[in-house]
Amino acid sequence: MKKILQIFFNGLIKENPVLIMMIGLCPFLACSTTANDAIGMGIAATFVLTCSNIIISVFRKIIPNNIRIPVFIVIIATFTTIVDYLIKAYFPSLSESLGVFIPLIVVNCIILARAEAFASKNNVLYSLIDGLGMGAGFFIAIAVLGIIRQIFGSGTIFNSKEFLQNPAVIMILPPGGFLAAGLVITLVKYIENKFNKRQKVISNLPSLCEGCVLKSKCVGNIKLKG
Amino acid sequence: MREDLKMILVLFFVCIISAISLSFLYTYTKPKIEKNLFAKELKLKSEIIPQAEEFKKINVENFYDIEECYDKEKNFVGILIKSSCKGYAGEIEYIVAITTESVPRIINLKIISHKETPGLGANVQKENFLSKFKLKSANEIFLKKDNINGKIDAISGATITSRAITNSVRELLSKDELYRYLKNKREESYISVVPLIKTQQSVLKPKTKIIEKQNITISTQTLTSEEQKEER
Repeated sequence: MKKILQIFFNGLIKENPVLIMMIGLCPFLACSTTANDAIGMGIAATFVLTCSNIIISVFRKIIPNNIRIPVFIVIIATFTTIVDYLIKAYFPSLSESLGVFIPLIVVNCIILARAEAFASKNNVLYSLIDGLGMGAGFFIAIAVLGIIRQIFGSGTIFNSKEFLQNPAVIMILPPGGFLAAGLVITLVKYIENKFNKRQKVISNLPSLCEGCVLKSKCVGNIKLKG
Repeated sequence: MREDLKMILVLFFVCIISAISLSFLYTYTKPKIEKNLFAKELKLKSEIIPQAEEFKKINVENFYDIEECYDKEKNFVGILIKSSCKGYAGEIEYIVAITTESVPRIINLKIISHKETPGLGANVQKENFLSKFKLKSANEIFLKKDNINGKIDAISGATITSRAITNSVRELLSKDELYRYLKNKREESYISVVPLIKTQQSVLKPKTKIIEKQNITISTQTLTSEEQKEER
């Protein structure tokens, strides 16, 4: 149980795919012009990530090592197409606004990275939890960015009326995506640094660690010889 | 050798399973997707020309996608034309409904898709720009700053987009194919011009009553204006 929670929060916070590991930035920036699009993209990517993690983990012992990448891509592409058809059939307006970015989930590197780094080495339950955790991390990041960009860029939130008279149009243009993403990542890094500082005081680092580059990352875990 | 065979088989079966499951899903969702597309198109059409009940696709001398619109009493109320033009950042697709008069006027104009800059060029799809096209004929569809007869205000900060769409609509309305088609249509069925827009009804109504009584006379009247155009 403890391991499951650890894996989940690892994806959600500690190794958040976009905010900490900086992968999957393309959909993160491109699909966050409105909160609705961002949430739709977050859910679609989470679904594909979780399903492909499960399937890859089930067949991880059968898949030969040499052709693992083509097999992963076929599995991911299958789930992406499933999502594409379902969205087209049941949420036509969402499919219109997300457009080409739903088929492009195939090349979202979060999904391939998790298949390669986690699902092909761990059992089904852990892979499921990892998919959900990483998906939740991506979902929260893109939803926050989408809400920020929609409020400042179009002066609306979800489907409400305009409440800002002169919104800053740059926020829904590509440069605004980078600006908002930079601000969000700065905030996350600030919080992370504060958290690490507090941890450092508790762990009582040996005096040799003073001035080491990896100080904040290793927190005295590497045992010193001699 | 055995390893190679295993590789081939695994990839083969993964692809087969994926293809089979996708084909099942495709046959299951296809009717729903088509229904959605159809409903979307019908909604667009009914927004653009609310009187129309029946639509009939026709082919006019390799002209654009044209659809004839008929109302409940089978009156010929207008023509829907889909077209596109090159805007500032890409193709702008639009649909326009025009009257069946000898000099066609615009009933309604709507943008289907565009790639213009959000906040500036994207304002072309807003009603307060598109409504300016209502009931204008080809010689009035100019930007005010381009032509004295122009009745269209350009969107501030998006002159290229507004000019592109204005010019494209004007060219569409003054196409010879369209005039020839309207002329033929009028000759073969003596269609009466039904007033379309409520605000204009008071102006148009007495005229149309005469038209309904004396079909032939109008067709000659309109012919003269068309002949003038053709000569030109």
